[in-house]
Amino acid sequence: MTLNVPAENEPRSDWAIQAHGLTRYFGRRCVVDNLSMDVPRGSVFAFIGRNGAGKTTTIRMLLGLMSPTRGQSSILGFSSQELPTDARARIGYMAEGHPVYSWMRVSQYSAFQQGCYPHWKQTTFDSVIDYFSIHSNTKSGDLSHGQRAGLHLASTLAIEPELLMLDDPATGLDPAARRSLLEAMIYFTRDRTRTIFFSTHLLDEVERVADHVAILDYSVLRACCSMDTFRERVQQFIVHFPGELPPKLPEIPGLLQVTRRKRDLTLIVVNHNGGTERSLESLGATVIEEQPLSLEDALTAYVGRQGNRSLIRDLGDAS
Amino acid sequence: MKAVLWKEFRENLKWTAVPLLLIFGYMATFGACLCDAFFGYVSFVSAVFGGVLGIVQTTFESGGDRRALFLHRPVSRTNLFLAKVTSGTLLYLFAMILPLACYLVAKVITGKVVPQLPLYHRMPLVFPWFADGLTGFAYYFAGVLAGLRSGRWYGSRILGFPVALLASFLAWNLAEFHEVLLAIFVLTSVIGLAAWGSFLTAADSDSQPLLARFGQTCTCLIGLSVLSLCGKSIVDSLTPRPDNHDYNAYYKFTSDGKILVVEQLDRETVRVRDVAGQDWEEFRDLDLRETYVKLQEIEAPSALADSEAWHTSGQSYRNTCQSLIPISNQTLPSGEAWCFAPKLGQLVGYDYVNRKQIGSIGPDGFAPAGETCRSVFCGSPDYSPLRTNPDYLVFPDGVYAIDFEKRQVRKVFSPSAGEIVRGARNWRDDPVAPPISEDRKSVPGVATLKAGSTDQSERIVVGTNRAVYILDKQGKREVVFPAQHDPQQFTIYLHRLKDPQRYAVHYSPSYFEGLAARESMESHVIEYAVDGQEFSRTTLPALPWHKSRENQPWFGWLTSPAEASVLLKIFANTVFKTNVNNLQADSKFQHSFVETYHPILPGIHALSEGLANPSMRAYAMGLACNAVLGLLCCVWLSQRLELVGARSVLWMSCGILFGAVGALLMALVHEWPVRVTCPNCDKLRLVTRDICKQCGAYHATPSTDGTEVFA
Repeated sequence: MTLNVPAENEPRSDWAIQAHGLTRYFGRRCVVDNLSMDVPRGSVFAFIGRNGAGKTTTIRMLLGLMSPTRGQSSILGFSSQELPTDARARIGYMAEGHPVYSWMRVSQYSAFQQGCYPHWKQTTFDSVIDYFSIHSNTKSGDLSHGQRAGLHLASTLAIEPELLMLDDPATGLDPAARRSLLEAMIYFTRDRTRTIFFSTHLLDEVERVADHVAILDYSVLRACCSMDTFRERVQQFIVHFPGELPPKLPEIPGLLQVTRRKRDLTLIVVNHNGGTERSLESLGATVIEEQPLSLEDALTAYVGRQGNRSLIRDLGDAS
Repeated sequence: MKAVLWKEFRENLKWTAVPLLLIFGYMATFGACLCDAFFGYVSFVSAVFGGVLGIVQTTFESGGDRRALFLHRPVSRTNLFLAKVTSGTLLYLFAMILPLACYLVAKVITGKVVPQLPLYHRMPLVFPWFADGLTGFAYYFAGVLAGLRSGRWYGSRILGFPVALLASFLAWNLAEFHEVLLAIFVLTSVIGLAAWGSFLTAADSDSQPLLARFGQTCTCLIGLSVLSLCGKSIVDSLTPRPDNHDYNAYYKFTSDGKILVVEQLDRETVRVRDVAGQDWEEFRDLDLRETYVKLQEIEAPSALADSEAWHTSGQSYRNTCQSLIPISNQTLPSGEAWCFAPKLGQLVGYDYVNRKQIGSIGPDGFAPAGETCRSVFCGSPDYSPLRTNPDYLVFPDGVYAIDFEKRQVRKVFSPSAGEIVRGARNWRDDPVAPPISEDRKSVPGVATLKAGSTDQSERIVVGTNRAVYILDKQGKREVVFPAQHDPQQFTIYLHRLKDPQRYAVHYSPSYFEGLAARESMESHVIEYAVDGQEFSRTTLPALPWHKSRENQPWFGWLTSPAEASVLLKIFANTVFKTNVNNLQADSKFQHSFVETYHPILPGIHALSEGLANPSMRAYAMGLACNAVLGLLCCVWLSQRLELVGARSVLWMSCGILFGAVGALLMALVHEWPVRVTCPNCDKLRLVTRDICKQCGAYHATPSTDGTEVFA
């Protein structure tokens, strides 16, 4: 696989994507609030958040498909809002939901894309659609959801991109298709000169492929770091109480999740420091023990953090 | 670019089937008659197809993932837009121009429509079709704009359609084809620029290029103005109508010489009185129908001793009579069609049964097909597009009778030196007009009206600029009535009275003197004995043509100063000008405009008297209030948008000039200014500005909760 090489006079930087103070309002609703982040070149960057957190809006602003209310961003060294066409040729973008021109046959879709991209590699396209068992004479509208994702992936990889922007690529895919997609991503980044920026809800994907993560919590960016840093900063503690568990916990800095079990509390805490332990000891905790935490659980706790609320308990309260 | 063109073409090709079926279906069913009915149908199909094509081509890709899929490719957005609209344009041309091209090939170019006429003189026959087809482009871009522009609660995305509607109005009412082309080009360009801007920025107004913003502003302004005019007309039509609405009065002569004043409301006779104002005895207690019949019974036989060419559509490029004037009379054999071709100065005949040329007729006689008729008729003929079966061919230098069956032409009247013939027609003692039936088959491709009655007249009435003549059928002069008043200022009617037998020449103020002048001009009646001796003169008072309505001044509140100045200028030019040439002084555009919009203006008398008139003062007060309201709204919006300097002044001027429309325009072309509380000064500030206008602080960063993880 050859890289779609930038021209000599194009700006180079260590960052594939940079955003500074990116903000977007829809009417009175702020969907992205003052987002600043840097995506290193050659990284696999996971962009995580719950539904409606602002991930797709952010990706569209980064690609210059939507203008921000304020703030700026650059991609491959170019301002997102003035992205030149040859820079756009080096960015593969897989839109959420895998939209296709349903009247086009797969071969027509390939020809259409080929007509637009100067570095189109037909063998890559053919390999990917073959992998997803897509026949070139099939109409795009007749493809299954997974096959449409495959078609999108094929057309995205066939342009030999330097940067791959994937907006929730695995949504609606069965486990086999998801695995295929992950394999393709791993294959894509094997020479570490390409960058993948992908948003997802599927946290096991993140653990397998990503080396950087950013977490958007309802319009606000709460985390942006390497996976190693994230692993270090999110910790799990088992806290043992000799008597009854305290009915209410004090304000504990960085608390993400609390689980009650008999005389134990399981806490997932971020940015743990001495203050956390002091707070717990003041409640009568006798043993505070750090437990290993999988990255998926850490991410789940982080993304789903709403104090110690849970849906089941909320439903119980409502009934 | 080619790939995108191909994709757009393939994606939307299916839509072209609909207009093709509609137009070819109409042509197959009714024939492609070059008449207003067909052009109206083409206009309608063009507008609907253009608008729908624009919408379906853009709306599915105007937002979300589909827009992203389309836009994220190494082609500039302008090129993507160009590819889209180029394919749309080609599809539109394919669907709308194909029937025209087929018609041109089948009829006009191959010479089935008046082959004697050179091709470049035949082509204007299809100009209206061409113009109506082109107006569809305005609707197409309006559709594109509607598909792209983000909708707001006030529906600004539809504003391209009123602009396109204006293009249709102009295409139907402007006089010259080049004017129509220019109008369509300008209006389509304006909407096209607005559509381009919306495509570039997903309808985000503030980040559009200057040219696109100009297009968007113009589109919104024109669209709002058209809607404002239409809205006022609708309000007018919904307003309870006072008794004097569409009041009209005219003089009528009875056969025994009495002069009646017939008053009409909404074109129905409601009162018949004498000149002194007393109700006419014989009409008391009659209903509408009985009144009409009674008037027919007692009316004196009469003839218009003047030109028939009063209708201003004669000046329109849409009038096919500019190229061909269908001529028919009782001598016309079936299966033949004859037209006068002004460019040739001759009558040309076509045998549509055997599909061959017959020949041509000039003042000196007939020349069969293949031979050249050397003589030509001089000057423009007197004709009316509403009555294409004239009794005689009337030219300034003579009146001719044509016998098509015998292929003969005879000059029945020659004016003296310096005298110009204005009109000629048979004297009909039967006052009831013969029924007129439409005969579309008489000339292939040209609508023709054909009289249904037989001609039993014995005399001919000829009007010139100096006199009115009564001739016998051979053209011998029987009586001459010298003109006593300027025929340019008066329309001349000749009435035949009895007990004793005599004639009355009635000089009625000309329509082309202007409405205000007509209301102040007296009529004159001169009676003559049968030998032409004058024996009495009567002057009749001016009759009101039009009465102002009480609600007219109130429309000032709904009218901006700029709009009023345009409306009043057109209105004043149309109704107050002095008549120079009744065919060229008014345009059809002006007349259509005045007919449509005079109810929402303060009235003729108010306009002529100016601010001395209370109605005009009330109207001007309304205008001023509208301007002040517009200014205040623009000031408020400027503050809210935090506009300063020239931009602020410009929008305030817009508020004064365009009133409420200007304020609405300002709201439309700016993103609605969302504001949040400043963390520093607690005052509201725009979310789009980095720095607070009041205190200079930056926006608050999102609050932290201790869970942040940044490397």
